[in-house]
Amino acid sequence: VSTAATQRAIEAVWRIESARVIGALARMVRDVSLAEDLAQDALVAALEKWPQSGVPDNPGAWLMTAAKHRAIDLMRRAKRLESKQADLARLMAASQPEPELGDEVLALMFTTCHPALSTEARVALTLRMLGGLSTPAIARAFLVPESTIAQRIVRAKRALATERIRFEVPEDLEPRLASVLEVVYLIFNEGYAASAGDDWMRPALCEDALRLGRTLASLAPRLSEVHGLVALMELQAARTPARTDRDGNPILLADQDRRRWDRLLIARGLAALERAKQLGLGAYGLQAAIAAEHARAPRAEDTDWVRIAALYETLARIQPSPVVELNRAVAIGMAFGPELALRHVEQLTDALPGYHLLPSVRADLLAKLGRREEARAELEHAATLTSNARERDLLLERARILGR
Amino acid sequence: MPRFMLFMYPVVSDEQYEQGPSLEDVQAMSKYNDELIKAGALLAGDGLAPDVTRVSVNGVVDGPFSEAKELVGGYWILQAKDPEEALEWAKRVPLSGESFVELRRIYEAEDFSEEIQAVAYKP
Repeated sequence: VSTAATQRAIEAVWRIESARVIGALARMVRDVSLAEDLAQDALVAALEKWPQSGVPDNPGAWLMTAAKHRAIDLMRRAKRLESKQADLARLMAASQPEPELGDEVLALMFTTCHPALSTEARVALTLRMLGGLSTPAIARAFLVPESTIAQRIVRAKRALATERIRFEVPEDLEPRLASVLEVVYLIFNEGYAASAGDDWMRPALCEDALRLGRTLASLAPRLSEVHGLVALMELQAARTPARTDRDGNPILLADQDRRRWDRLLIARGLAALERAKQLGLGAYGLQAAIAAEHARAPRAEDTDWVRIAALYETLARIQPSPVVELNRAVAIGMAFGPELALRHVEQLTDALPGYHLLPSVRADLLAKLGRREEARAELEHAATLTSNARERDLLLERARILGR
Repeated sequence: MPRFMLFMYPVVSDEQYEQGPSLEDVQAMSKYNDELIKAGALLAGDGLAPDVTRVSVNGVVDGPFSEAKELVGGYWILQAKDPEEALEWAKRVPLSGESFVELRRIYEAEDFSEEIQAVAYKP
């Protein structure tokens, strides 16, 4: 077995084990940053040792033991003798039973997604500690320099200490949940409709987010919105194979070849939506219900737009936002005609300055009403507002067709 | 992220086949499945009943067949970052005796030439 192959095998083990190892260590040393450093040390030790010795039979336990030895070494070197011995006793006691994957991973998730941290910090910490992604991998995914992500992680770790954020599963999950789900969905969306760069989609990020969501659903199965978000992501990810043409250009929902939608992900999404429904639908669940309407329609013209418009109305009531209103306007347009929809859109102009989808939707409605020249101008305006190259091309292409 | 299919081949005596899996076997398998779910890596998976029927151009033949011990006993569909990660999961399947698992990567559309993709996806 070549060294490169062993290294890839070690990295695979790391992705599977790292969250559990970091979580278990954090529980022992009561410090997530230190726990991550210790776990990284164990990874380095594995990278040194395993190419010679081979990958051990139980690599997770090996990493855990190595990291714990490092924790004990650290404590021994600590100056304060009394606390050292107390810590040592605690470490030895804690290192006995093989920890179950569960609580400590959930606690890690709620710590890296703590609302006291900035959103950017939460995203970077979560991908690194729970997704098992290296700093360069995160930097590549977000198209920023490695040093930027490294700095974010350093700052986030410092904030964990200064804000005295405790490593624990909060007693009441519900109020802290929003900040966790926000991070997961943000990662998903950055992959689903990249805000920058040449590629419209970066599916690997969607899949990282999906894995985090599925993990969360298995660890916190009584929270409706977790299943709602997982359902939403599964249903949206199901469309990935149909969302771009061979050259990577976006294909809009109505024009997608629905036979390319992933049936397995749709089935998973619908099952997760059922679980969310039984617990009472929240904002993510309602968005999943809307995505499910699209998934159920064999052809675009079979879509139940009246029902989608009603779902958006409910969503707008529990989570008022101009973006929801814009989507609602689209549904109203499909269900009841462009004139009514245009009146809705006009009310949103002040609420969504600089949002490229507003002129894009308006253009669509104007074109349906035969007002082609106005529609073309809206599309050209929309093209100036997006920073994604593929999306800009698509908008300009639509403008060009209208101008003919 | 590539998808993989993992096939379980339980190599057991005819007697054991009749009896089905033991409580311990089921417990070990449940624990394994649970780990897959908690890692967000499991897309689907099931156990298969031993009754087998073969359908070919020559007609329909009911089993069992002589090579029944190499019958697929169950499957998992996994999503993994790379083949190494899938292999790591394959190595963790609880196995006993001569039972084994087989790991296969699932074809994605990109694996095929544009010509074949066009045939597969155009009406």
